[in-house]
Amino acid sequence: MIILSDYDFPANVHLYPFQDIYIVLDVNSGAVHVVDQLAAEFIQAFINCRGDFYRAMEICAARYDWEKVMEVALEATGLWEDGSLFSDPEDPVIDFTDAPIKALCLNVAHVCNMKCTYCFASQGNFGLSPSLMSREAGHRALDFLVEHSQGVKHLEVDFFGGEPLLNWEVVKDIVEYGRHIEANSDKIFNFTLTTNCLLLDEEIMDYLVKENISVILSLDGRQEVNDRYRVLNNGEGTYKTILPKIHKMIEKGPISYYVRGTYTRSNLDFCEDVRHIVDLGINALSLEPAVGAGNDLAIREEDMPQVLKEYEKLALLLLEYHQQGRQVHFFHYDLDLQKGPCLAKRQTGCGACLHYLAITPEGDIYPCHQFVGHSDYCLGNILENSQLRTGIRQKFINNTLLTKEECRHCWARNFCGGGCHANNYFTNGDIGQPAQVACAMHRRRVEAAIYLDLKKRITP
Amino acid sequence: MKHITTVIKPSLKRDVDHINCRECATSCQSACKTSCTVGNQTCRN
Repeated sequence: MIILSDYDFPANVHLYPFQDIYIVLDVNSGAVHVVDQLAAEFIQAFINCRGDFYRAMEICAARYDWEKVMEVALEATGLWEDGSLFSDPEDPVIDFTDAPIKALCLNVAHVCNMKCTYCFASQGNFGLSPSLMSREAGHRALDFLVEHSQGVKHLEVDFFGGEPLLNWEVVKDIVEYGRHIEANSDKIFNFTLTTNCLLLDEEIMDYLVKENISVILSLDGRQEVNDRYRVLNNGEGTYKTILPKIHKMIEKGPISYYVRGTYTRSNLDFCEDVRHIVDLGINALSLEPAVGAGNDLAIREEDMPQVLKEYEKLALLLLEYHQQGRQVHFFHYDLDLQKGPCLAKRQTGCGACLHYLAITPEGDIYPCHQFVGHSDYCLGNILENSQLRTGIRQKFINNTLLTKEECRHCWARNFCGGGCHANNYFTNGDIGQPAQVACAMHRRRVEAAIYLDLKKRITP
Repeated sequence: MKHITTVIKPSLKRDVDHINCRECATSCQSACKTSCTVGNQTCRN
């Protein structure tokens, strides 16, 4: 018999059908079970009866043999006793006040050679003056990161923009400076470059490979989809120009890569874009919803029925690839169910302003790349002063899973970490108030990703 | 007959020796940039 008192069922256990199976996620332990129809009905009845064990058995006995109901009840009790079903939330309370900074988004160029309609960065300059980061600011950014990293060894720097290749010489210089720091300390820099690919050439590609720089290559999918919004300043599409460069870059074998696209209200059938990208021979990809306040192309509530169906379809597509012996990594579906992040990581989510900051070409500091240009959220300037405006930072530090009432009652909380602060802010004007559209998308992705993982494990 | 098959055993790390080492990747730093996920990050510890 399972005995629970004041148990928050929706927050702590999630039972859902997905295609051909019933799945039960025990939120607090991370255990995942596949159950048959009877067990699904028993668990659902137990939840509906708010933990009345015998009532749940009686409900099931009306439709099934008592002996079978007993079997299920005993199995469920055994799992409860060993802590893998209806387990209790015992989240450790961690003080993040003195958290180290370990990642920087370096906006090395607030200019862009493209004019993508949906760009959250206002076509590259974030609504600020067009500018390029200087070598000095780049060096100072790395020094700032090291100074604030405390004992953390692995530091991350993403060259971002605008288009970072418009400031390529400075990118190289910053990498070389990072290597110099590594040689004289115990720090290790993991560099990433996010690019629209237009300026990628042999020399740049070879350098990225030689220096073990991860690359994020932008492509939205089918040519007509990509060229609808990913355009040059003259309106011309970019697909045909960038595709050979993407192929070449991947052929050269960078330490890691992702092809990253954006989907909008105009291509809610984005599975076809995933299919297209995979058909191009690309095995690591991510398609992200368009975001941004006042962005007409961003996904809306009325789009959700189709978006949610599409995420389900995507799981089946990825399973199909797996069954064909093809390993395709879709960023959001690569959940590590067995060896995922610790609870501290799960409590703090994306880490914006806690472990991660964005730096503009002028040295201004923001909580993340999406807040750039929102002066209320400027934390200081690395060229003027190393100190961070503590009030803003504390606001983010205090904004964890444990402090968001809505998140504490959501079964998906340990997979999203409380959602994107920027999405919350731009949607609700409050970093602590989850954005419902993003939450619904996230929950569906988690359901689909768990299904995909289970199917890979339980079927040949 | 088994009605419940446990495919993933309890796995969330909550003991103090294994949490908050802070050496893991920062989630929004990689291929995401606009919609957060932490479940796909791997622990280095």
